[in-house]
Amino acid sequence: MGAIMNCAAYGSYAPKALKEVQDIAVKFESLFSKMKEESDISCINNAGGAWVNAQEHTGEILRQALLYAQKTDGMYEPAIAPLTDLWDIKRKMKNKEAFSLPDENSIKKAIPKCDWRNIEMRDERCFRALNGARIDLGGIAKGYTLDKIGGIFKQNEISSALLSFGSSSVAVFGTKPDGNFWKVGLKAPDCAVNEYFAVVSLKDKFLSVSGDYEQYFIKNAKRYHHIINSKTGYPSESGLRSVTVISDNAALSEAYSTALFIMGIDEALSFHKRTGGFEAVFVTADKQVLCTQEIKNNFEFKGTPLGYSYKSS
Amino acid sequence: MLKKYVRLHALAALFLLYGLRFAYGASYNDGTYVAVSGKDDRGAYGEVSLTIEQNKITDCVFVTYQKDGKIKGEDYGKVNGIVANADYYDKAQLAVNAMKTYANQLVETQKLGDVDVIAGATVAYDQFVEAAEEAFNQAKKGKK
Repeated sequence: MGAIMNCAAYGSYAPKALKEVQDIAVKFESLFSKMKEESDISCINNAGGAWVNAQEHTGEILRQALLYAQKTDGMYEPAIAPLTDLWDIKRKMKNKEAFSLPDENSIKKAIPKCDWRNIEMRDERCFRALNGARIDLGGIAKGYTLDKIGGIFKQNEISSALLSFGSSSVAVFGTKPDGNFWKVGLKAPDCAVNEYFAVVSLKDKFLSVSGDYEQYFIKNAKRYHHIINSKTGYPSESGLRSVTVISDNAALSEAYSTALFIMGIDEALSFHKRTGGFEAVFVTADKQVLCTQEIKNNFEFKGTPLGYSYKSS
Repeated sequence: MLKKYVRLHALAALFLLYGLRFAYGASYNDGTYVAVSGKDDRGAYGEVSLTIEQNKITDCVFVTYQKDGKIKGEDYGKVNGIVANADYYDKAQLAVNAMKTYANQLVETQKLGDVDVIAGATVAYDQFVEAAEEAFNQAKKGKK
């Protein structure tokens, strides 16, 4: 996951709760990271299709990942490692490596491997990856961790807390100590880091953002970003720049923000209508901001000075 | 808190926990306070100096340093002194300018922004908030 976690918690048991938060964050990293050779996920990825017994939390996160993959018809795709490894945008950015496009043939070969149906489950904790599939939980692990942190806070009677994880995942518990809702600014693509196009006021919610403006390369005047569409093998070109999903479940918010980003605005709105259970805010390439009905009462548009327009459909 | 941050960094490398904000509306001791953030994954860090007079922030300076201790200024984003990649240089300079804005905004608004958190913000902003909070904590204790 490799992300910074920032946390503020209020309550008499806050120090104890934060210690527990540290412990599970470190534990989950060691179970879920595909970069760590001894992690559960690496064991499944490297087993050559053999059954692997995983730990309880690995089983739970994989069952959730498969469920969201099924619900979004693979728009959220947990078996996407063959493609993300091929593009490898995050690592190349970090090492300031020159960017070269993966060759078309390798992309074509990787596409059929990146299918959640290649991940099979024998019982709650026993999994195998067939047909060259490999798992990358980068699109759900922060959310799953936040859900478990929510449980820790509840047990420790934390009345009020704010957590941001890699700044793309935010959890708010209760209200602020003064009774007001937490205010979360939504970052405007391509603007200075502290400029936001909207503020959402939240209580007891999980929020996740997917956008193409943090991790990308420009090659021949074309933007290649890190959100890969598993059906085309290329970075998604859906006409969206950013999607924010808000719900009562952090893993769902995170998986769906990626899925909706790849779907594009029309399909995303129709998916919202069909399934429900979450709210969403969209930013299109032509700087229009749209959001779903229920969030509108807690949504404040601030994007006019930045050149954004609000479309209240 | 900073020590804890660094220790965790060594322990877990990837999972960092910092910035416990327990104070809302606390009172602060006059003085100038300096605090340093943790390092990001490129080894860069930020330093905030806050001047507080009668519970008001009268001055704030935020300087960020690259891994080798060089200040991120006009040369940040250049490779061996030249602009090798215009996109990369522009992005780096955008970040440098944003850092000046944070410090000015803090003096203007007297708090860490009108929002409690920004979803989607980059590491540089996190570093600023972290260092600023540490300086606030010092100011509460009166430890310069």
